[in-house]
Amino acid sequence: MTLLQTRNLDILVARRRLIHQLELKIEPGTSWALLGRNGTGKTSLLHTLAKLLPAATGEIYLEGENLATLSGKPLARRIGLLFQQGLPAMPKTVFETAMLGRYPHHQSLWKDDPEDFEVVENALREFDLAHLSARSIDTLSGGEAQRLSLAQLVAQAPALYLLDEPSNHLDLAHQLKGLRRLKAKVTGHRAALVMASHDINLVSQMCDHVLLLMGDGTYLTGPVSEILLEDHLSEAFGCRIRRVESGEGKEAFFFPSA
Amino acid sequence: MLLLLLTLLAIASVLFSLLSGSVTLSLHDLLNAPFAGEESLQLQIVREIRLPRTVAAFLVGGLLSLSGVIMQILLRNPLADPFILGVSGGAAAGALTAIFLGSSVFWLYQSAFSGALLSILLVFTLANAGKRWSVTRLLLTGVVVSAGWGALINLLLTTSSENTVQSMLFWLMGDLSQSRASWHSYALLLAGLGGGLALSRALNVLTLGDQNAQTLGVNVEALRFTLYLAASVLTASAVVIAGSVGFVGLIAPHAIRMLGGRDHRYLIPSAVLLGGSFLVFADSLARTVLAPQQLPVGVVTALIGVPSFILILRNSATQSP
Repeated sequence: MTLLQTRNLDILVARRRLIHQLELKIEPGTSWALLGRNGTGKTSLLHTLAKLLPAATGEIYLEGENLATLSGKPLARRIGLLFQQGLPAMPKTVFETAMLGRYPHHQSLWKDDPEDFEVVENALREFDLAHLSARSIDTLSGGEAQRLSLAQLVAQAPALYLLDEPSNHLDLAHQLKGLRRLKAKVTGHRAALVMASHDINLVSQMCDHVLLLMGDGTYLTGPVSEILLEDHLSEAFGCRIRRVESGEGKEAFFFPSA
Repeated sequence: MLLLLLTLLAIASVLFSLLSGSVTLSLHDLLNAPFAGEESLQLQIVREIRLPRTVAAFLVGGLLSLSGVIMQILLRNPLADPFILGVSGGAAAGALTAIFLGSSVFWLYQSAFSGALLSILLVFTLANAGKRWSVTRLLLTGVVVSAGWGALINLLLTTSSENTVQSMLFWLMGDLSQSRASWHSYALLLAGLGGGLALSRALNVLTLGDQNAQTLGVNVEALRFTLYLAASVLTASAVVIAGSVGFVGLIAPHAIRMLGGRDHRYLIPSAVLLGGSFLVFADSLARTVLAPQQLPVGVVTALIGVPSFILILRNSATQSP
């Protein structure tokens, strides 16, 4: 069953129609890249899919159910969102912060479930944060804070991961490792992810589908091999982007050229 | 562990309060009181005068602490206290008007409570007018409305006779000498405590920010509305009993947080116990230090509160408030 489907979806920001009549079908097990220039509505689209913003027109269906009918904890168990801006520095430890990701799963008002501890410990370990468990979050570096946000999202364990620039602040090793972990969640659990990013190279390695926003309401959508082409990218980003294939012909690299 | 210690502290503070004063009584006498056949004069004093006042002090301290915890999350501001949104200003303006008109104690309570309710409605309506709820809007509205009440209070103070000004000042500084807690306030504190505990996990999540809390399944708008009303009503009921007792609602939550109780499941009951004990202790001092002269308890809370807060702050240098 299709995990998420949009019908005739329009996104308006400050009275500008950034996305017009979006028809998107996200199947379980797929990883989507959301690409486009600054201000083309990437974040607004993610927030609309997470029901933080209302859609101007159109509908969103989550496994066949209209998103408008879902809310609260049941919705939070199915859709999770990684925000572009980091965690606010209210005094908390790394562990406490990651544990908040379990909120939609808590059964008891007061008692902690041992399963929650296990999930959170695993999530912290996966993002190399286990040794920082007891640290206060305001002592974390930018990259560590980003990994903590990712760990919190993984603890939430939604079916649809919406990621707003997940590679922000991450070093190269953690970009690759962290996103591979996320991708494993997606393929292993019949989930899906949508990541907004400006790193075309990373996206081409991590994702299998692309939604490329043009900024004037139009968009391109399809498998990576059909969308990540010089012509499309150059048009979308308003500068010439070259694509070079590596020796084995398996990987492609993209860079802007004058 | 912390909760256990605080419960012991609460019991100790109540005993201290009951035993201190112009009429001395031993702990032994007090504990045997229920079994003694004939009641001595001392015991009568304790039962009729000290006990109600002690209970009122504990209740007010608990109400203000709970309200302080809620305000600090609601406004996401560590400087927030129960009085920041103008509830106490409204109550004070109401109370002072009653004193100005020479009303009875009954009407003073009614007037103070009406003033507080008026202020709650005013701030809420203005903060929500037209636009979506935002923390900044709420805070600004609260501060502006407070300033308005402040002007009215000053007007009443400057135009009143010397005798009335004295009692007005006591009211403004927070004073428990006339205080009797009604059953409403017990019920409110218990309801607030229960509600707070039921919402404590959602409150933990809310500290992540509105949007993140929303995506984790918290109905942020409804929660904020509930928190605003709860904090306001808790404050109003405390203020009506004892006037604007400062400092308790600001520092009791912070002290608990700095002692490591950041999880609201523990922070809420701990802050209530600490705030209650603190005010009971402060009030005992207020009536004994310069006896027979009684001090407004608000003066004592600040005098004890400031140095102890600085001490806690220094000792928790590794954790930011």
